[in-house]
Amino acid sequence: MSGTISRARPLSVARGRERSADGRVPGRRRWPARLRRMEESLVAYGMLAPAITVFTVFFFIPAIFLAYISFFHWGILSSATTFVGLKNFRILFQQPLFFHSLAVTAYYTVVMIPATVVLALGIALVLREAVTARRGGIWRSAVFLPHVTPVVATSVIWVWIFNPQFGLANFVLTSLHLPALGWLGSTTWALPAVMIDSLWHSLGLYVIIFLAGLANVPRELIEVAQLDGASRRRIFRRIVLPLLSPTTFFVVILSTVSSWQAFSQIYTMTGGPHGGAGGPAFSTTTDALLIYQTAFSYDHFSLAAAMSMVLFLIILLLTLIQKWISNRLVFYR
Amino acid sequence: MAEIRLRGLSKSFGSNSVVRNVDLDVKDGEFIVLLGSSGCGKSTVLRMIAGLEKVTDGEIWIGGELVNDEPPSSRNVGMVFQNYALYPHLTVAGNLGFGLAARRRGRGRRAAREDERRQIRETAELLEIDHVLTHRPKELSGGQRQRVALGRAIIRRPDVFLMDEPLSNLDANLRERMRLELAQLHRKLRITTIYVTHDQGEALTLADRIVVLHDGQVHQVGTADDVYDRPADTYVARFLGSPGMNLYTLPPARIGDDLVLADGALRLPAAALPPGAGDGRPLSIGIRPEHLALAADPPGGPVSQGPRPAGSGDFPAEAAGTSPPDGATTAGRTVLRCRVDILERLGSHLLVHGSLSTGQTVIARLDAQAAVRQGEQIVLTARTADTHFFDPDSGDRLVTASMPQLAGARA
Repeated sequence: MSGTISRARPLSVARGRERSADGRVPGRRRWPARLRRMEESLVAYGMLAPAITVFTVFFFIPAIFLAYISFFHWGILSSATTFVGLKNFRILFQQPLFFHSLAVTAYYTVVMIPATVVLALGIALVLREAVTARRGGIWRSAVFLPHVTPVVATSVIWVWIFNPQFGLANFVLTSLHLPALGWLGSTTWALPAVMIDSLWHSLGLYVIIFLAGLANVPRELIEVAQLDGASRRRIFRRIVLPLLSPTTFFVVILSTVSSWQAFSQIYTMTGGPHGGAGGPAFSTTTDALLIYQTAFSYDHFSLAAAMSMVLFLIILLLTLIQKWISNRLVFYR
Repeated sequence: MAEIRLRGLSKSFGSNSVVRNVDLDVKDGEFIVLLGSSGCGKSTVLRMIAGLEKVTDGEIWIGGELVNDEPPSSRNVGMVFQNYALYPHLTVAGNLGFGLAARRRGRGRRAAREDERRQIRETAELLEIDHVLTHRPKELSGGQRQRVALGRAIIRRPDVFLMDEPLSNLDANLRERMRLELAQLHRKLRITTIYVTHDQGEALTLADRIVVLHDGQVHQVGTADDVYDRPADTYVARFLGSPGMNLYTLPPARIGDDLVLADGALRLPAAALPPGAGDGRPLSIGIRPEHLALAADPPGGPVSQGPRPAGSGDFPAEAAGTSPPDGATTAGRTVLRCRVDILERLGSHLLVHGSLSTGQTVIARLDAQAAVRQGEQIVLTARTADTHFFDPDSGDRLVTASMPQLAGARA
């Protein structure tokens, strides 16, 4: 019996658990141990191969190549590749625009993270509380749908929504007796306009993640808290939020990374292929956009690579900090 | 402290009715056990009393107040869940104190906190968990978690204490110990308790009164002796006892003074029948396995002593010699002839699984030393006073002349 079971289980588990005192799996055909291990490894690598291939070709190799060219003078059209050491980084740190782009990105991230967490959690709570089980699927789909749409296509629509003369955004504002805004034409409001588009586009995913997290909060805990006389607010703050903290942490990490890498929506909304992206007056020039323009508009690939390296280090550092904070705030069951 | 009254309590989920018209009066300080197999609606009754489930129909009164529309928090009930439902991110002290802190209102904060700490300490001492106050639930053993769950429910001294299968996640030894401790705790605190379980052992030992539920309906309310010795219907008869009662439906065949099933597989004196029963109508009769005793070898050999040796002496007819061949030991008693199919030796006793010539099964719980072999024919007898009669259509108990005197006579 144990033999048939161990076949159905993952092989490594079977090896660990089913062995009897003499170190053999009872009832199983006994191959030489080494052959058996090799068979297992081959199966495992075979299963992993597609993912590893995709990752290697599209992720590891480009990443390593990127790190490599950041120390060289390298152009996509020039054949001369010369080692320049840290020169690219030195040039980079002399560029005010680079620091400006970091500031823009930081601003974007600092607004996006709390907005994402609060809105996604809020929508998830409303969906769970107010929507009956039968209609739940439709609402969840509706919320998730924007995330499935292509960013570039929907961003073009958002450009129209933010049109100062005919746009929906200003129509809503003036209907509420608020002043109309210049939106994408204004250095103050261009980035917030992009943020709204990004939120609209990405929230669905985070709502679904939060819904899954909420479903993992045992119902009895909330019932016990009700019997304990806790108010809804107290139950949310003292029971639901702590138990949801791994989910929240996950959402924070995801939205941090995607904020630091935000590109498509900014590029499309602020100029796109017609030029002028990142404007007006560089007010929406995030570092991802700057990297793109440096590489593809100005053909300074090595400089762009150096920027990417700095960006990579920044994101790494942020993630480490978040991880460190999370050790104190996140409760894993 | 409070009494609870349920009036016509019903609950349906859509068209599925899970609790039907439950009436129950629980006295102040009483320990009531809702007993039933899974899916009988017992937990739903509990959850409705707690306010976690909306009432479809009927009324719930706690301490003289109609609480149908009160939220759980204002019913002042404490509840223990089957899986404990401890807050995993809080320490034991945090778990115990959560309810206190939730009910704390602005005034005298520092004094209130000091008071809470004292209550937490006292409750922890009562339940012997004071040494793990700073631990998280996952660092505790099953028994300790159980105690924390109990402590969290009693720390506020609720009017009503609700327990939903609180012991079912514990291993057998611990379960028995906790059962005892629950009984002691209840004696100490005297909080009105409603306890849900499918385990009749828990029900019989803990309950002041047992409520047997089946299919959302109350089948019987009574003390352990009531439900065991005088089951209200065939369901209760079969459900209680381990194994449950043997039940047979007799066609109306009379031979002389005896009522006989088939070719004599089951025979009992007509005089023992409830008034008006057995004449032209079929009748259900029931005998508990532990009330069956081995009569004699079928050819009429010496009597093998069953677990009730004293019983046989009660019948002077034994010596009269006017009975059928094996009647020397069976006169005036209910008699079953069966073939032994399976023997289960359970240490303290012997379970005999047999079959009548009609194919119906019989289970008898005999003395561990009883001389029974697999495959042989045996004769089992029971006192007519231990023979129960039921209406075969409704399943309701038929009252006989001899049974009411039996109150409390269970060995």
